Amino acid sequence: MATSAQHESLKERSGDRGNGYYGGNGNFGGGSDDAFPVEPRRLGLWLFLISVAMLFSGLASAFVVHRLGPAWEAMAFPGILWMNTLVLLLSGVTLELGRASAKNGNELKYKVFLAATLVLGVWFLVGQVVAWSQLVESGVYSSGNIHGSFFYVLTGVHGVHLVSGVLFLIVIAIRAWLRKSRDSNLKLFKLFATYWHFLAGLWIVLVCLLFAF
Amino acid sequence: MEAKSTVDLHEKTETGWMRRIFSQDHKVIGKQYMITAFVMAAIGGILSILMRMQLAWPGESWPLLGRIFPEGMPDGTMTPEFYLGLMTIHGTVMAIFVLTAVFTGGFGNYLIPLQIGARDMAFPLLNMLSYWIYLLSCITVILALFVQGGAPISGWTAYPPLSALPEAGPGQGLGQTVWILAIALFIVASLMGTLNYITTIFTMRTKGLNMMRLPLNIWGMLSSSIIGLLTFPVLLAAGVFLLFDRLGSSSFFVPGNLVVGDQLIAHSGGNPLLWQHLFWFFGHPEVYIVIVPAMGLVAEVLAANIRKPVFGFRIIIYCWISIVILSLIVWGHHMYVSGLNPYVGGVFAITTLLITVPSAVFLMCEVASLWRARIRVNVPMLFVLGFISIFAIGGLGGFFLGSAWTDIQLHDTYFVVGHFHLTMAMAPLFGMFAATYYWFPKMFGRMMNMTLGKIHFWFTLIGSYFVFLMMHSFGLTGMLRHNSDLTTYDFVQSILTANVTVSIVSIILASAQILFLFNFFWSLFKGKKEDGNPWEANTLEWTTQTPPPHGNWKGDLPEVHRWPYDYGLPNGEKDFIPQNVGSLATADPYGDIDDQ
Repeated sequence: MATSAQHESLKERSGDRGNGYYGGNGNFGGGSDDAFPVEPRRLGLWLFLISVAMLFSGLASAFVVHRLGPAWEAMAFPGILWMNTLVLLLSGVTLELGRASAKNGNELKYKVFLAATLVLGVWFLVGQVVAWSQLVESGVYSSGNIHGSFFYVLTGVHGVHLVSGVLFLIVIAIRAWLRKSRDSNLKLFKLFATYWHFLAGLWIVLVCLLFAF
Repeated sequence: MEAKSTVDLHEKTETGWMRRIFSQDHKVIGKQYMITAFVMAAIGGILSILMRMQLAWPGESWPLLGRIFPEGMPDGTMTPEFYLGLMTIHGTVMAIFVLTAVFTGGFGNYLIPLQIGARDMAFPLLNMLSYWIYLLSCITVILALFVQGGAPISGWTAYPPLSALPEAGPGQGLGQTVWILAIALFIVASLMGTLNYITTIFTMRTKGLNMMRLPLNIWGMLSSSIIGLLTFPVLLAAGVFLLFDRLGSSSFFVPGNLVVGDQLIAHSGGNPLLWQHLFWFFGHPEVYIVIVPAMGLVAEVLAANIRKPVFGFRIIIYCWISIVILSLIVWGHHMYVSGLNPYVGGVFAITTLLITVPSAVFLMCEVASLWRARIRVNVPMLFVLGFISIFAIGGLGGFFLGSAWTDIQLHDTYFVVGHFHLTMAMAPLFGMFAATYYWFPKMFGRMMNMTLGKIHFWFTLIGSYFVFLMMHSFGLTGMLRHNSDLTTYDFVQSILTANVTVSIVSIILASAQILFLFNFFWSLFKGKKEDGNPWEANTLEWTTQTPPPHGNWKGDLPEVHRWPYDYGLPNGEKDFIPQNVGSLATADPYGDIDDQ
């Protein structure tokens, strides 16, 4: 498409030089003391994470209102969540091991840890679906019990974001396998890592909110 | 990697209609947003005229309309629910789909890269997607008028339990669900946009353009985007809960013991006030999302037409930053009579009165800018002056609404309607008109017709004041909102004639906007050609050719050596010094010739 080719050449001219300082020439390359010290895509990711945090703040504040209200009836903690949480945290570990391997130039280990992270991420999602079906079987629906309703909404919205994270990871994995430019792959990987750790941290917050508050 | 020549950039012009329509060029996307917003505004305006017709002549039969809306207007007469449906879609379309989109999406997209000396936005693909999702959201919300049951009747504010119960009224079934989907789509598009604008403004400024040399317009876009980024997600959260209450039988908002018709509703434990908190946590910042970029656009047009620096450049920036922060802690003033704890209401009253300060200071800076200026009274400047006037007068009513004790009398009356139409509808629209007449030559290489512009201005100014100031008076008399036939109430008998007059004037006011739309589209083809800097302005968009090519500048990007407000300074034969000119003295009180 001429349009994206045009923008490819725009980006090339701008020089994705990765020298750590951006802005200046409007080309986000070439350090100037007017430059903003964060790379555009990283800033974009942080802004996105802020908006996701605000979304969950809205959801969480509603939870607090109901939790402290008169109609609260707690539901039992679904045991499978222990495993799901462990799996998600483990995926963060494999992600960091992948980062270390990439830094040391070990391509094979990097790919292995990427694959492991992907497997664990999917395992988490499957585990969430299992948790949901277990709850439905035991009579906890989105209607009827407000704690149950919040469980479905909070884990559902988190799950949707995690699915997008898995898709992002698949893109990273494909790029790693296709051996495209190592530098740009690494930069994208770092952005993904931030997103993934954010989602894992968010999960911990949600579980504590739902069951330890 | 070697930088490619800049020449091949604009030789690769976009050919083929697919590439042009799905262009990632910010200028195309900005125009797409603008035109779509104009169309939505026309639709929203038509809906308001239908409402005014009902209010002036209730019970009247309009057979033609009865054919378009057979469900809502049997025999051509409007049912009360149909009126409320019109009101809901009118409010939603105008506040969200027109005003929130046209400033940042339309003018922001077009001007931000040009005014900061960048080739395009930071994320052009995301930008393109945001427009098409916006368009989809527009189509979805209009669809709500035509689905079975019609449009929702719960207003743009969609309070539960009404909005949460499909059985609670016509339009509350499919119509309300479609409405929620439209809002959700819009939120996604808007967040994609704000992310782009903030990133671009921070990371892609050209050499020499530090934050304090940015045009006020850019600060306005930045402030609005930050508010949007923080508050739209909370509306999304509220929408998710509402959707669950409607479709998943949960009870986030729906309390127990409700009876609709003769049926007990199977919900319990929900909290309707929770919706109001979540909604207004977004809903109040929303008005600043709309007005601050309008203020920014107005500041640019003002600057070029007073031929001297804008008074209080830094003060204005600090005002907008304080508005961003304060706007997040005033939302309770929409809830004074909702059952909210009155002590909490008192706190919100204090913060609300506080936020009047930066808005007022901004207006005072504008007025101070006019003091002893060689004012150029052209059509854009007329709309700037109109903006200042309308926002000031409309804002005064806000003191009575923001104070909890007086709001008790005025809540849900036409005093509120008059107030927000002046401050949130007409003032931003005046900003939009000023910006359109002003930047039209840059965007399209032609001037709009200025005679038509003047007629448009005077009809709009006088019409707005008449219609919406009268509404303040009606509200004091007790005329209620959200009511399709007030003729039966004895306390409004004294104003019934004035009510009809307001409807007639509002039809004239709406018709004047047809003049604007005609002028806009006619001038695209037949306007006087203008490819220079007709306003003799300093900002960077005027340093490139008209219309700007892909990549915005044919050669290298400009370098900035000064702030944008060096007007009234000698520069050869000119009295202004564009931002990319070095070596001459500056009027920036913080600028230093060694900086250049």
